[in-house]
Amino acid sequence: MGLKLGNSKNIHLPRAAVRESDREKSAIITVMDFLSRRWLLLIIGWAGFLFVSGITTLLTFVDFYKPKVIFGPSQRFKAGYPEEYPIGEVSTKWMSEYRVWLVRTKQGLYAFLGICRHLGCTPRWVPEEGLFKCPCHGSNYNMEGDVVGGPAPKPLWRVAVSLSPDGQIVVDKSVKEDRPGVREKSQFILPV
Amino acid sequence: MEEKLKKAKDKVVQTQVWRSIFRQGWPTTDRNRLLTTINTLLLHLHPIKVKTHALKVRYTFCLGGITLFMFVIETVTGVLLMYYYRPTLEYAYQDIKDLEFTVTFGLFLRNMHRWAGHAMVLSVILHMCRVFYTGSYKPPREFNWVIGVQLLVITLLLSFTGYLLPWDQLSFWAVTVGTNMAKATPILGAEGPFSVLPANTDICFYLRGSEDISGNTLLRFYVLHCIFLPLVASGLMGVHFWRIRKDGGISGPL
Repeated sequence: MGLKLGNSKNIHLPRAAVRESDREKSAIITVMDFLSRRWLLLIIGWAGFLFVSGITTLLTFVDFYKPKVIFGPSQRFKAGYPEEYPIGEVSTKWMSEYRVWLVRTKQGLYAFLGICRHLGCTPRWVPEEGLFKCPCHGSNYNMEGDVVGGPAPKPLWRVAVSLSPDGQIVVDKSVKEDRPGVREKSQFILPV
Repeated sequence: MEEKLKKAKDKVVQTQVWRSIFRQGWPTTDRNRLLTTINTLLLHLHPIKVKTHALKVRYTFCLGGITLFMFVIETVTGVLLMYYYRPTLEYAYQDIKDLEFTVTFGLFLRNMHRWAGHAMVLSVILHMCRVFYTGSYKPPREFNWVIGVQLLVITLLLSFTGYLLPWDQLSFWAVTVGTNMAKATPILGAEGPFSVLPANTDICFYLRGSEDISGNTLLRFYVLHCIFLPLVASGLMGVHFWRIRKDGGISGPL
């Protein structure tokens, strides 16, 4: 039993089928045989929709994974009076609580962050050798914070020190500096 | 007496409960044996026909199977450990001590979880070596090799995230060092080549949930270790085992 198609002019055939005869003549298939205006708009529409929804979903997740509030000890703390720190000595007084060394030289008082610049362990101050020595991979730093041995690529961080109105030293761990020439100046040294 | 027993057996075998569990007769014919294999969840994982070479233990050493077995041990002991472990700064270390010294078989459980974890990493690596040396990664199995590499990464991540949970000096500093390395990632790390992100937005920060290892890190690693990574591993393992069957059964000359 044959299938009656009726008047072919009234049937919406795909463009490719309509052009069957043309194609046989030229034997060349152009992109227009497959990509009608309707299809192009449909593809652009869906691609745009999926792209925008995908990117926004991704960004939402990325933002979700970043904590907005972090609970922890304050980055600023008062470290007593400058007279408590003898010249030429490294104080380990605040290490266990705040992970900060205070060093007082003739030039003044400055503070190091007790974090190894190699992979973040805690070095130990060895007064006999005058070195900060890291137990993890053996990085050594001198009293200036510069690397004198081991794999550390950069000198120790110095953090901001200032005096509060009551005369106490204020250490601010959120301001860090390690560039020679900058780290010995202004807010990173207390001329006492 | 024998008559009575036979009657009782017939009665049991004909109940709806029995027939709903055992859907075909005794496996005395080939057809019933085949039906038993198809109709049983655990047996259907095995192919109906097994090639002779598949019985040679020294070809595969059952290393993939050992890895799966270790994963099952990890899951069972891990769930049991979760009853007593709380991933917070206050309790994590104390709960491990509690497990070791007061919980019945707690020390045994913890050690089982730890050693099975080590064994799993080892058996995954050996399994990979075996697959490499027997050339079992070649087409059509190249897809499954890639799934296997992903499973290796998941196994290593499971091992790494589990390392932090005891919250002692060893785990704290090991994870400090381990996550610090992420800072050296190109583009995404704060101290790596082509770095664009500050230290409070880089990949290390996302990993830790803070700038240093903190309670956030502990919780993050706990969720990754107990929920996210095992789920991903299970999914990939499903694909891995399914592909073995699709690629012509357990490894051997094709």
